Parts: sequence; C-alpha cells; structure tokens
Amino acid sequence: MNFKKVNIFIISAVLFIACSREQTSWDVNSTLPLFQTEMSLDNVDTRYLKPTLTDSSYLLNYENLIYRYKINDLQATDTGIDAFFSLRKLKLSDRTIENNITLGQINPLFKILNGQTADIPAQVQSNLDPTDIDASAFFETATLDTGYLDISISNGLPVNISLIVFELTNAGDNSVVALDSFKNISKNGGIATKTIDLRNKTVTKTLKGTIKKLVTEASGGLVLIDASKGINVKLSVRNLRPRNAIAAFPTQNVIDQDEGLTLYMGGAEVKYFKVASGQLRIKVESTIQENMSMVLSLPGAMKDGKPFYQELKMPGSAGNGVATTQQIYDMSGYLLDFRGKDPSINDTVNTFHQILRVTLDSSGRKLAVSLKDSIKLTYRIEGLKPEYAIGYLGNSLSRTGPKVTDFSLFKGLDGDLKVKDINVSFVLRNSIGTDGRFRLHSLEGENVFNNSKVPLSANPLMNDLFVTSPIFQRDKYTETVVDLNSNNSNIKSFLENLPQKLNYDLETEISPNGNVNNYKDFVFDNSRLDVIMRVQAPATFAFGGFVLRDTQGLNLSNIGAMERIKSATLFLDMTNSFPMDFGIEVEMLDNQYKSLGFLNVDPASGILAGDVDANGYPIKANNSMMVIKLPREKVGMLKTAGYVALKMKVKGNGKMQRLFNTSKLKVKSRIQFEYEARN
Amino acid sequence: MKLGIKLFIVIGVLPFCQLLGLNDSLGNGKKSIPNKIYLEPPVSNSNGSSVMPIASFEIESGSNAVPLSMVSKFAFGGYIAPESMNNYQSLLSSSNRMGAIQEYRLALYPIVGIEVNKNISLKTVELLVQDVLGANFTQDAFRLFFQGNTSYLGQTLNADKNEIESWRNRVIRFVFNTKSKFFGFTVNPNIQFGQCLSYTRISTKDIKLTSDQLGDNVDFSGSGYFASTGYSFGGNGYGLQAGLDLKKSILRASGTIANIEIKLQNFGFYSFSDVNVTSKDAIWNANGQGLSPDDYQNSKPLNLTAVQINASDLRFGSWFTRQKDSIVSKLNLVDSKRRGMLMSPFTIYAGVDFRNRNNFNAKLYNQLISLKYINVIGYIPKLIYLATFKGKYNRKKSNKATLFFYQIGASVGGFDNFDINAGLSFNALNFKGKPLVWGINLMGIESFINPSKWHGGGIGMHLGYQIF
Repeated sequence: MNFKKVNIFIISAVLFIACSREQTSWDVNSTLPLFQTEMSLDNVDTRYLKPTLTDSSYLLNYENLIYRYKINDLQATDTGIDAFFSLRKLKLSDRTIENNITLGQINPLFKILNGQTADIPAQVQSNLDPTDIDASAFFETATLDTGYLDISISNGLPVNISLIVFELTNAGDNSVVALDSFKNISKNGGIATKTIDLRNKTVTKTLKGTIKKLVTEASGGLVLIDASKGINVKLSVRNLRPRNAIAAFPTQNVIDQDEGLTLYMGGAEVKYFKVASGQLRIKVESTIQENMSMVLSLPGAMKDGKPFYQELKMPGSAGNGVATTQQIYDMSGYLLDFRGKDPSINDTVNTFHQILRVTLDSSGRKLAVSLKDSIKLTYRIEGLKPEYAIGYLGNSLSRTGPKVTDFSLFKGLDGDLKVKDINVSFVLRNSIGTDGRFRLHSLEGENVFNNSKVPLSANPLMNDLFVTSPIFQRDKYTETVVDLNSNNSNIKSFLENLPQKLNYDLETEISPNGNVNNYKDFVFDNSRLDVIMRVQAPATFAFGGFVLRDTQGLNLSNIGAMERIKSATLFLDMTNSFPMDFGIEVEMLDNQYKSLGFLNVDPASGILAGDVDANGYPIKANNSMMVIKLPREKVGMLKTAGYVALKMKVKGNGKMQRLFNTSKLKVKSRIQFEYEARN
Repeated sequence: MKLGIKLFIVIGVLPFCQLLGLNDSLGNGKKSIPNKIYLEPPVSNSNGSSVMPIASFEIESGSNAVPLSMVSKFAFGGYIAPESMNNYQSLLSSSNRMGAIQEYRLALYPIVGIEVNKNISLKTVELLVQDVLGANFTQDAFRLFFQGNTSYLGQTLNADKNEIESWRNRVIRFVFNTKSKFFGFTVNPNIQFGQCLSYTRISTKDIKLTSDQLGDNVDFSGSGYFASTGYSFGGNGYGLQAGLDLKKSILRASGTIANIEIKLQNFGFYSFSDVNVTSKDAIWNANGQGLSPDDYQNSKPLNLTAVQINASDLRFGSWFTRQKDSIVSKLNLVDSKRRGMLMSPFTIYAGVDFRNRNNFNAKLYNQLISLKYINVIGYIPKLIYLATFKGKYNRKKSNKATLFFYQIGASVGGFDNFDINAGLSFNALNFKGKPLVWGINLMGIESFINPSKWHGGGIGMHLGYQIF
C-alpha cells in the first residue's frame, strides 16, 4: 500500500464529500381561499346587452364587424436633402495690397538730384533689386484651385515707361507666382493692368516683386526730379478658391435654399396636413474648425399660431476631428400648408415651403483647410403621419374577397337555439371625409361545428350602396343602414345556423366620381369605412342542448415551481339563480391543441338551475359544490398544457325563457394542493 | 450525501473519533484500545503503543421527539411520505428538540507521525468537513411546516417560537503538542481555519395560523426571519477557530489509574459578507451589519379570504396568481443582504476513565464517565458512561490469539433523551509489520432496532495505524 496514493485518494474523497447533499423532500397539503366573484349578464358590455327599462330583462344588441376599409397608410414618404460641401465651395476674401518702388530705388542717382530739374535721357535697366511685398492680408499660404491676381502698375515717374517686366515670386522658395510685361505707361499717373491666373499656384504671405526690365523714354526737357515717386504696384486677388490653405475664412453661406419640397403621398393630393407624429432631423458633420450656424424656417408649418423657425449653432471641429451636430424637432401638432412656396402664384399640392441657410461664422483665426475638409448636411423629414389631411384623396377601387372573418356572436356555440323577434341590419359606417360606394358580391355564414353553410340572400344588398362624407370632425361618421327581415332576406335561417365564420366578397370605392369636392376631402388617422352586421333582439332564448365553448391560453409559468405540485383540487361553491343547469367539462390541451385529458369534475350533474316563477323571474338560487380534481396521476398535464378548453353545457327546459339582471351565478372558491417541499 | 455514504463504504475508513485513549501508557500492555466514544484526535505517547488515525467519520443525530427514521432522512436526504409525517407529529410534545452532527476527518500530516522533542511541535494537520444542524420547534410548527393546514382545518396551529440553525464547514486544523503543564495537565492546543460552505438560520416568533372549517378563511400572524448563504463549494464565510486539550493521569496506590481529559474544540468565529435575509416584522441594523434582528415590531395579522375579482378577470390561472400576489404582499416580507460575524458551534468535553494496571488480565479494561456539550440549538449537556472490555480471537493465518476491545454504555442528553451505545475495535491488515486499527461504534442502538419509535442514533468509524 502506498500511503501517498491513499492520502491523495482520501483527500479527494473528503473534498467530494463537501458537495451539497441530496435534498430531503416531503409533501405539504394546504388549503387556501382563492377568489369569489359574481357573474350576471350585467357583466356583458352594454353595447351588446342592454337592460330594458320595463322589466329588468335584456335587449341583445350585437354588432359584428365584417370588413374594415382604411385609406392605406396615408403617410408622407421620408424626404430630405443631403448636401455635401468640400473646400471647392468655400471661398477666400478678395483683397488688395499696394507697394511702391520709388525712383530712388530704381536708380540711386536720382536721390542726389532729388528736387532738381534735369533732362532725363531714355534708359534701359534690368534686374532691379527686388522689393518685399507683405501679402499676409491674403492668407498665410494657399494653393489655389481657381483665382486671379490683378497686377496694376501705376507710373509716378516724370517719364513714359515703354516697357516694364515685373516678376512676383514667393520669398521662401523663389517660385514664380507671376511674370508679365506692361507697355506704354504714360508718365505722371498712367496705369497698366494685367490679370494672372493663379490656378494650381501656391502663394505665400511673403512675396518679392522684381522689375526685371524697365525701359523709359527720354523726358524731352527738364523735369523735376522727385526721388520719392516711382512705380506703384497694386496686387488684387479675387475669386480665390483654395485647394489647401492656411487662411482666415470670411463669413459665408455654405447652403442657402428657399424653395418648396415635395413629398410623395401615395397618390393623394394633399393641401393641408396636420401632423400627428413625425420629426424633422438635421445632422451636420464638419471637419472645418470654424463654427457654423443654421436657420431653418418653414413658413407654411404653423403651430399655436407661429411658423416653424429654428436657429442652431454648430461648433467647429477640434483639430483633425469631425464635429457632429444633430437636432431632432418634433413635428407633431404642426399644420403643414402643402400648397407650395407661394400659393398665390402657384397653388400646388404635397409641397411645403422650406428655407434653410447654413452659415460659416468667421472667427478671424487663420485655419488650415484642404480639399479633404468637408461639411455634410443631412436634412430629413421622417415618419410624418397625419392627424388629418385635407385635399383630394384620389379615386381607389378595392375588391376584397373571397375572405373569411369571425362572427363572434355565436363563437363557441353549438346546439339548439331559437331566437325571438330578431332584427338584423347591414350597416356601412363611414368616417372618411369623402363619398364612397359599396357592393356586396356575396356573404355566407358557416357553422364550423356541423359544417353547415347558409348564403345570405337579401334583395337590398344586390345593388350598389353609397355612403356620404361626415362633417369635418374627428370620430364623426355617417351610417348607411339596410334593414334585413324575413320579407327581404333569408336572415332568420342565416342566423339560426349559428355561424361562427362569415365568408364574404365585397367591393369598396373611394371618390367614385373623382375630385368633385375640389380638394376638400379629408381623412383622419382613424377614419375608416366599417361594414357591420348589427343584431338586435330581446334576450329571450330557448335552450335545448346548448354548448358554450372557450379555449384559453394557460400560462402557469408565473406561479413558479409547478413541477412540485403533486395534486390539486379546486372547490367551487356555486350559487345559481339562472333558470338553467350548467355542466362543466375541463380539458387540458398541449401547445398544438392536442388533448392531454380531462380533469375530474364532480358532480357530473353540474350546477343546478335556480328556481323561477311562471314568468321566468328568478325567485330562489340553488347551491352546488363543484369539485375539479387534478389527481397525482394527471398533474403532469400541467407541465405540458398550453391551453385549457372549457365547455359549459347549458341545459334549459326547451321553452322560450327570458333572462333578467337579477339572475346571478355566485362563485366562491378555494384550492387544496399537495406541494413537495424540499430542504 | 449518498456520494458520501458510497465513499464511506468503499473506502472503509470510518474510524472512531476518539482514539484518545488508545495508548496504554500506564498499563502493562502495548496494545491500543479505545476508551471513549466521540472526540477527538489521536494521541501518541512515548511510553506505549501509539495509534495515529488516518481517517474517521461520525454522525450523531437525535431528538427528544422525532424518531430516527425521520432524522435520518434529514441527515441523508430522501422523501418522507405523508403517512410517516403524520405518525411523527403524533409523537411530538409542545416543545421539541432535534439535531444532527456529522464529521469527516482526514489526517494530512503526518499520516505516521512521530513527535519532535520541542516545547511546541506540530503534531498533525487535519482536514475536516463538519455538518451541524439543530432545531427547537413546537408540535404545531412541525404540523404547519411539514404537513400544511389541510389536516387542521377548523383549528389554530400555534407554532409560536422556533429556532433552526444549520452549518456546513470545511476546516483545516493544526494540532500542536507542548511540553507545558497546567495544574499537572499536558496542554495540546490547536488552531483551525474554516470555510463555511453553507449557513442557514430560521427564527420565528408568535407564529399562529387559524383556518376555518372549509379553508375559506385563514388568519396568520407572527414574525421571524430566514437567513441563508446558499451553498458554495468555495465557501460563503471564513472563520478562525481554536481548541485546547488538557490531559492528566493520576495513579493511586491501589493501582487504579484515572485519566482525566478536558477539551474545548471548534471555538471561534466566522465572518459572512453576503447573507440573503428574508424577514417579517423584524427590525434590523440599518447599515446591513449583523445577522440577527435587533427586535421585532408588532406583527400585523394577515387575514386571507377569497380575493374578490370581476367576472371579466376570471381567466384560468390569473386568480391563482392574484391570490398568491395578495398573500406575498400582505406578508410584507423584506429581502435584504447582510453581513456579520457569528460564533461557530463549539464543543466542551470533560471525561475521566478508570482502569487498574494491576489487573491487566481482567476482562473489564476501563470505565469512562464524561460530559459533553455542543452549543448548537437543540443540544443539551450529555452525560456518557462507557465500559470497555477485552476479548481475544484466533487469527486463521497465524493461529495466534489476537486482542480486541468491545464497549457498552449509555448516555443521557445531547439531542436525544438517552442512548444505548456500543463499540468494537480490532487490529487487521498488517502494514509493514504494524497493524491497521479498525473501529466502529454505534449510538442509540435502541433506535436502530426500532427507528420509528426511538429517537436519534449515530455511527462512527475509524481507521488508524499503530506507530509502535
């Protein structure tokens, strides 16, 4: 035996022993009160079941939406401006500097003769000493994409100049900026000008002007020698657009727009647009170190009596970075005049007037810029949705069908139900601010439980129905009502088929006669044309074997630790004064609606009916204790159940019975459950 | 725990803890024998044969009311059927105790240790895993917690005051020998560093639950708190502990020797920095420091009735959630994170064994009387009597008579009311000419015979190596 090995083995064993041990578990059986409630037909929405004033009975009032037409997505397409400005679009200031070359500088001899008169002979001089010219007023340095230098030479000499060749060089590297000749400049103030194209030339702030050749004529007599006078050189730069420069940029507009911006409205021609939601987003990205300011004005966008007007300061970039400024303006609540820039001149549609001006604010600092520098501006109107819009909505024809919709009045019902004194109407409820036309091609009711289909045959629905525009006010509508009865339709047999589905084929048309309202149609964001089947009847029914079905999603995840519930029993203490018995079946379904099994419900006879007098009025409630058991062997269903199907069998006496609002089903419940506790 | 049991069986290294008296220093023999059940580490002595323990395991459980069959479930895990729970509750009185202690120990250094002659010398380094669980509880608390209220509809369950405490520590212990004497006692101190793998504390006050006949109306009142670190293999708290072992032998002229031992173990504190506490009506130190409440405020009674809902809300499942949320809301439970320091459960032991060196051939080897106390909830001082006898058997291989020892005794107190105890120690499996010493002892034999009636029980096993 090797003790080292034993030791390592035992150490490992002891460490393992320190793992958590198996849990102790036991069952806790608890009983807790759960809920109590009272169900009566008062719980049903009064839109559907109205108490009558006469005898507390109910009037069944039901509307089933068959079809809804909305003007498709009346929304302005996102529109905007994307502008990009490089240095080519920036300009430098036009500037002028002057420099004198005196007679003394041209020939020192004249300094001696200064103030005297002399007869000056014709002379030719070459390569005079250069004169420094300070051009820092232009810029520090610039390589120019475009630009011009105007050189004006003014002759202050007492003799005519027949030729002067002038050269302008950068002091640093002696590179030539300009070299040109000027001829025949008359004495005592004559001027000659030449324009030098500075394209692709680099100019620095320190220049040298050199008279390469000066040819003067003889004075032809005595003339006064004034050594301080001479040749004046005036340099003017203009239209400078640098490729790169170190310069002080002047204040200048980099964008200046004043025009209409047209939005696409999906075929509608809109004059006014009240914004329910939407935004105007401006983003400026600049590599230029100067600050900028922006003014955005929408003269046709009004809110609280004021037009939209915004000023925005945008700081310049720091160093070589990019300065980004983004501003989002909420446009909700603005009424946009979509008639264009100047409706008095050109009254158009879908166009709003916008003024956008972006200015580069000069700080006077000399900053380095190059063609790589840029200003990028993005200006967009986004997600513009109307609260309402006015204009011409366009003519649109929509054929829908064959399609299927639910008919909820008889959802989950099957069996034998007779209704008494029933009234059915076909209603076209229009809240779109224009005229419309409707045509029902076919309507068929389908009972999905027995596959019975009954087509509706109704004379009033065989022709076009027309709807009119409501007044210009939110939620106002007009109704076109067609009553159906046994005389003009087969509506009774249609309903007694207890359809849960409606198969329909229909047609709607907006503005069937075109723009007859001269751009005065309107639409709100909730405007629509609803096709409705309205049912009204006294709540007097005859129940045979009648079944109400419902399937509800079962979400037990929030209860927690479901796997530890071993069994559960739900006790329902029922007090029923409805004149009918209720039997209950509870079936558990998985997520694919496959049956997992039924829960045990005792007693099988269900909930006993209450006692009623000869008029069907409830006089005594009866108690039943319903016990719904989920025994241990079925508790696994809870883990896989996705739905629970409830089936309530209503057992009447087969005669017509009225329902009163004093009829109630009171429920008081408690739950007993076995729960596996663990330590 | 099952893993622990398997290892325990496979390895077969489940010694006594108390190899203390294995030496026979004042007797004639050179054989090692056990002289007490429980406690503590090995002893070597230059005068006699000495056994160094390699590993040991012991578990002690008990209750003055709950039988062994239930306690063992809490010790080892497993499912307790409702019928058993009902039987257990019928055995309870108004005030009950229950607890369990479990310890694994492994000597790391030296496995075969020989003392160094210094004033203070390191004798052993041991790795231990200790579980301590103790509870004081009422019969109604047991019913409420372990059974639920369905069996007690129409009654009031007066659970009142209950305390439950649970520790699981991993400890490395350094045991020292000194040459010092204290009133003639040899002094062996130890120091240990611990990781608390899990700690739980439950305390309730004035808990009362009344259910009407049908369960339509439930009233609850009371306050309390639940503090737990959860389990972490790397430890949730860290502690420093110390112990002291004092021993003295008195030889009388008659030849009777009295070996006296006084011992303190596991005395120290653990620091916790992140304890999850859920409390009801407890008043805590606001700065998050402290693991027990300063006081309780007046508890607001909670009345549970069927929650009133609209028929339109009668969706399947929603009413259950509504009531659950309602209960949670009314309970006004407060969750918090707290930190603090706690004294760990420690042990005080005092014992004396008598033997007669002039009568080595007598069957009765010695008699031990000891008193032991562990400061854990539910534990009361325990008085132990144990008689050790010698026996012989012939080894088949060598056909030599081999000595073994067996013990019989009884104890009163601890978690239990009383226990009948027994033990057996023998040599086997020679290793390099020295025997390995095996031992096993059982506590609460009456409970093993009838676990559904008698309370508590324990088992200890050891493996040691005879040094010389």
